[in-house]
Amino acid sequence: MKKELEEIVGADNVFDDPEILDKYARDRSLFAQRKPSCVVQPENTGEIQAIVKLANRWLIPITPVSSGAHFNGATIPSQSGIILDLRRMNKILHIDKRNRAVRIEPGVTWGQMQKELYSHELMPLIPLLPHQSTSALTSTLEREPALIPKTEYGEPILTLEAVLPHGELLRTGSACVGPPDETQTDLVGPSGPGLDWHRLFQGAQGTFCIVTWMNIKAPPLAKREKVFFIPFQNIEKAVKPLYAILRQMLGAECFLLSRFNLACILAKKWSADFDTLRKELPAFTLILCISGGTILPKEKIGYQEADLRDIARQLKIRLETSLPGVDGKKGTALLTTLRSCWEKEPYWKERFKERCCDIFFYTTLNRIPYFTRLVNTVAAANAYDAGNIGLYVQPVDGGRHCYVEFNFPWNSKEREGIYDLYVNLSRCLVNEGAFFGRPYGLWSELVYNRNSALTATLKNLKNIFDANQIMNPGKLCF
Amino acid sequence: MQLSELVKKLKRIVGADWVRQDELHKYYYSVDIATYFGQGAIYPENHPLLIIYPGSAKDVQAIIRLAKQNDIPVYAIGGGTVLLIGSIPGKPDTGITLDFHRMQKVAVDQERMVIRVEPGATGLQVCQLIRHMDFGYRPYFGGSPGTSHFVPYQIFVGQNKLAGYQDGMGINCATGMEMVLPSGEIIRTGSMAHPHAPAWPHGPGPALTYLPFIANAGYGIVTAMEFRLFATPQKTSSLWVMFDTLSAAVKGMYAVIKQEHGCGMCLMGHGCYVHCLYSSRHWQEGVHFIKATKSDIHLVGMAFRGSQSKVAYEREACIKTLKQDGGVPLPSWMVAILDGHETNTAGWQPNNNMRSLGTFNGKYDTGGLFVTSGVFDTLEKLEEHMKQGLQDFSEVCTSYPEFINTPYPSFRLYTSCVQAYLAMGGHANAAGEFIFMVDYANRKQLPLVGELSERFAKTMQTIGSAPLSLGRDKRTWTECSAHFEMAKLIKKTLDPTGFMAPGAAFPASTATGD
Repeated sequence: MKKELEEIVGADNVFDDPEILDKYARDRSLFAQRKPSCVVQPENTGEIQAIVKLANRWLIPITPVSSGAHFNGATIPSQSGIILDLRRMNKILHIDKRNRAVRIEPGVTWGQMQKELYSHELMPLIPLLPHQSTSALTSTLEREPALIPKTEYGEPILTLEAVLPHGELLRTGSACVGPPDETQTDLVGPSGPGLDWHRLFQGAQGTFCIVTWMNIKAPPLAKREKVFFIPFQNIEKAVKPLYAILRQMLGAECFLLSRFNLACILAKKWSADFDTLRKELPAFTLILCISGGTILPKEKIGYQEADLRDIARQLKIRLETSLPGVDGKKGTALLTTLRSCWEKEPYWKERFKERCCDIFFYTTLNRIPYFTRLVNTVAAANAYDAGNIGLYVQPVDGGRHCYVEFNFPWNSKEREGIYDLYVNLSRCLVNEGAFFGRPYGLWSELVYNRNSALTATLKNLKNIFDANQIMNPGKLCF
Repeated sequence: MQLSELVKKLKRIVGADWVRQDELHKYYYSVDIATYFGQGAIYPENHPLLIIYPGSAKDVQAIIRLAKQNDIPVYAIGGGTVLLIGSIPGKPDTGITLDFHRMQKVAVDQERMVIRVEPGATGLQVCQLIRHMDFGYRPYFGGSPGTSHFVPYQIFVGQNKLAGYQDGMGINCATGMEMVLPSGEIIRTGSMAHPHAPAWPHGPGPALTYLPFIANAGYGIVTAMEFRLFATPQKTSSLWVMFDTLSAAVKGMYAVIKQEHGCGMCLMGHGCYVHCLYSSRHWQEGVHFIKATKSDIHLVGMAFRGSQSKVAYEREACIKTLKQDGGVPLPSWMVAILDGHETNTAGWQPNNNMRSLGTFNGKYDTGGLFVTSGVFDTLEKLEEHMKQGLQDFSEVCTSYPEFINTPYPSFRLYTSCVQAYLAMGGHANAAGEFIFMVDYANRKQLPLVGELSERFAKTMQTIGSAPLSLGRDKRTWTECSAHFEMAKLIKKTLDPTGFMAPGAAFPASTATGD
């Protein structure tokens, strides 16, 4: 098999050195490691197709990987096999400034894309401070929420090309009529023909296909911005203002961070700055950016600020333009930090301890306080210090619901305890109605066991696409 | 199984009153615009054997199981006004047709901002229920004739032209689905997958919420759906601006979209008076509009919603932007005629269309629309599409001059209306279509309609637009064979005997469609 793989991608791009395999055997999550048989780094779609066909012949599983750091166990091979490392495919294929879209390969990182888009006066729909090696394509495919909660940005994918588990190519939406370079196809229509295939591939953890390029929405870069910080002493008090701001569709970036998370992000000197910030920052901070374009930008910011001040008066909340304890940085500079990649090691979530366990789900805004209390209670029962739990709330879809992420930093000697906490808390959250839309690891069992008909249908579909079960087996309900 | 035995069993499931097999019912469920003359009248009028009116998902489940056991084809019809042959049997005297008029429940969940509807629920029901709760929804343009007032259809294929780039198409508003599969099992997805699931259509894992879309019941029957509601804005307003040329109008639209101003936008091209008929309160009002505008204007319409200051700011900014490209804002009395569109911005629909369109031939019962050459494309490609389409149209009209001379010249019978509207976040992803007003009762129009359909299909291929993907759209299944193959495989797995909507979900000539 190795020889055949070398014929496809060249000997320099096939690896079975135990040290290299060891790197792919684990990630930064709590999940058990498993070594792959080999690692292959293809350069183009044709090579991926050939590898997939070979894997079908040999009946060997394939686990696609496109980022350099992984946090949820999705790329740990459940049954060994081939790791398909897509990081050599890192081209930004096209930036369409007029139609505000960018077409990228899977190895393109958020930082790489952001830099290019800025030079075209566009910006990426970036999640909160992704790791510098995180693939923008995979992150979008896995539905990581963007910082801007506008409804239209909740569906960022326009079209994509995928290699299916038997090696065939499928292009979705308006890309269906032919390869982008050979036809006049426009690449912006996400629907059909017939089924909306890309929705079936989203959140699938590489179990349905390997995406080779994706055309994604890219909003225009604002010419003028003003950032507000709204402090809250407890999470209960944040709910009403969030509803009010989001229902008026005010601003662009809008998200809430706990003191702990903000201190981890903003501390320059570890741990002195971190300790100071933990004392001085408010318990929770809502960060809201209002922006103006090229036509009457000052007026645009003006009316938004007036509307925001109205809300602030009515709800008796404070609007700040800088944060206590953060010297010399005005709001816009801080936001620039928050909407970039995290360029250094350790990753911001891993500054406090070696690793960080994230538990994330969707719910409605009014249930955040309840889930926060539940998390603190379960954490206390598992002897975890509630003061060290991070919280990130990202409103989605105009505030109709929100993505809630609790962060639990841990050291290697705490692995067992944190695993128990992860299991107990996940169970409690599912029982109380938290919606685990991206069910990684243990969550897949908790989610799919409760919905047998849906699970059976997904399995049926999986069998259609991947009769030999070679695509990342062991993930989701497969 | 004998038909009489089947009828007896079905009556046991739904009640004796809800099983019909008289000729009138059979005829009613065998025709629509496509069998009549749309698409060249190529589809035959096929009668079903029986028409059943289920009252619940359990009824549907029992009917499906019975039909599966006895290999009887099942077709489904919601409002009955889609008119694109999706509910008509694939063969003469075949199968049972399920009509969902009895399943009309609607329920609002204010916390999650969603509404749950059964397939027979109407837009009017939804409007009446939610407007007192300070909510709106994004139906298909409620003034559009020939399309269903029934909510599921609006959500399945529609989009609100004047809210499109903030809220997306109808399909983007769906958050969850309850569907009876061909096996008789019920699946619930997205916001309906879990009792407390938020209005999030995706997952868990891959999203199955969208499986039944545009499938004409080929994969199963949707017995309930949840879709998003939107908070009623403090203020709404619309702006209509005339342009002399299509290029100037498109340039202006790009400039506005780039600023992310407004919540939706449409461009009505040559013959855009059809739209004033949709939206005017009575046809005389529409006639005033037609007289006051030039025949070849290009009208850009957009809507604003939000706080008083937001709406005021965006209006001013858009006027400034569009004037730079030669746009002339319409006076307020003319804008009043387009109130129907503005009502849509707030999230309700006027339901006024059948009446006004019926007026076009002096009768109230035979007027209607024929839509062809629908595409989704970039705005700039749509410009090309519209130019070429108009040329096709004028050439065809030259060959058939009798269709231009009509007793109702103010409506210019059979003149085209070209429009583009933006959806899915306005991200360059516009939709366009050519619309013709036609008289259903006049079969002389058939050659014109047939020739136009054919020429527009060629134009679409020439400029490289993807097909719209409706069930029997030939291009979907010929140009995109990989999609068709996968769709057939899914169909085969979910419905191995092919008893769900054979001949309706796929082209009748294919193995799975027949």
